Amino acid sequence: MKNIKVYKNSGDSLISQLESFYKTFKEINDLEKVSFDLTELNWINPLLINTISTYTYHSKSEILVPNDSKIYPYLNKISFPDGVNSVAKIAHFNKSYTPVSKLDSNVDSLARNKIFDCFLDLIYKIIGEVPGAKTAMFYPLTELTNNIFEHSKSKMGFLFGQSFEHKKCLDICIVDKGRGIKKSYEEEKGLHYTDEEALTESLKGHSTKNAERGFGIHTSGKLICQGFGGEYMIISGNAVYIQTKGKEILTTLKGFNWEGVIVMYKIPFPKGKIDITPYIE
Amino acid sequence: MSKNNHILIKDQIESSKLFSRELINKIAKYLEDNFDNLDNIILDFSDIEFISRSAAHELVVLKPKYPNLIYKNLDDELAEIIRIVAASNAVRKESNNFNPQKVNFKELMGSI
Repeated sequence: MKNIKVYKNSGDSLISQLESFYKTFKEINDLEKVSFDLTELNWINPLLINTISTYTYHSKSEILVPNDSKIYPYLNKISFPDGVNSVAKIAHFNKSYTPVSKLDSNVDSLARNKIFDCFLDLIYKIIGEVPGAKTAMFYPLTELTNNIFEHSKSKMGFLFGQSFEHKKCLDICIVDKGRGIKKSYEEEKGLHYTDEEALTESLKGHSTKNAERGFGIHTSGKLICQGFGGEYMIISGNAVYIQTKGKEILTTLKGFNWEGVIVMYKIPFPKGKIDITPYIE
Repeated sequence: MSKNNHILIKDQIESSKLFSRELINKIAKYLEDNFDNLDNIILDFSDIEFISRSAAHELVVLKPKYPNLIYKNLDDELAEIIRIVAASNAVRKESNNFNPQKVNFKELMGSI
């Protein structure tokens, strides 16, 4: 089995997290069983936590992390990489982060909805239950998570949230290994795009379903970046879109493919009410 | 069929958050399964603290099918979200100003 060294990242910006994610995953053929080596890490970013958890679930890969390593207690607390899919394990969590949380479409939808409901409450608790901020907090998280089951056709979605108290911000990562955006357009509309073209179409609000839909990815980005002043990133196939510091960037990861969709965003802790109406369309 | 025509949404979805289309469809199915006539049925939003855009859109799509449904105890913020989504549904807007900068990945990494 191939040993994959998990790369340290130089910071917690989305671009830094993308760099360590790409370096870690670029040598892996999709769904190849590997051993992720975390031995040299003293910290691991949210993007790596959630993508390695998702990949490990689908590929039956293994994790190498010594019990006496600095990050072992943290990884244990967040249930990395197996994740949790029970209401009790999420509802009573009382940290500045969430456990790796799994939404499973194989169980009945009521049970899955309850888990997601608890995850939303936990995220609201982490940011300090700021009055008037709940709708703005929940809007992107619900829209982007719903996409897993409405568009991606994935049976399993992984969610993870981590706050950074000293920087007063929260990272949220939503991952699936479904059919991805390119294949959604192919299968739903017969449109043949590259990953970059497909990602562009989705960000323009062109739905893979019908004309009245397709707002989620685009309006969530507006709210995260303009409403909160945060950063937003989507990866699908080999295409990456990043919105940060007023700039919108599209790039392609050479020799790389993530079958499915990864959404990652960073928002400063809200200080009061955030009006979402200018952003939802 | 004789049923109480007052439907408390929170009881139907077992949550205070209408976060998906699926939850609206669950309510619609309950209505269809339990009422022959949907005139004067009250959908009570008491204790509903959040509606997602998708759920609001599904509600807008369902409304012409059940024109005489009555919404009750709808919080101002939720009502505004539904109003915006309904307006957007009538006049589809596209994001024509999407014009991201295409950047080589190595160049992007150099910017960290």
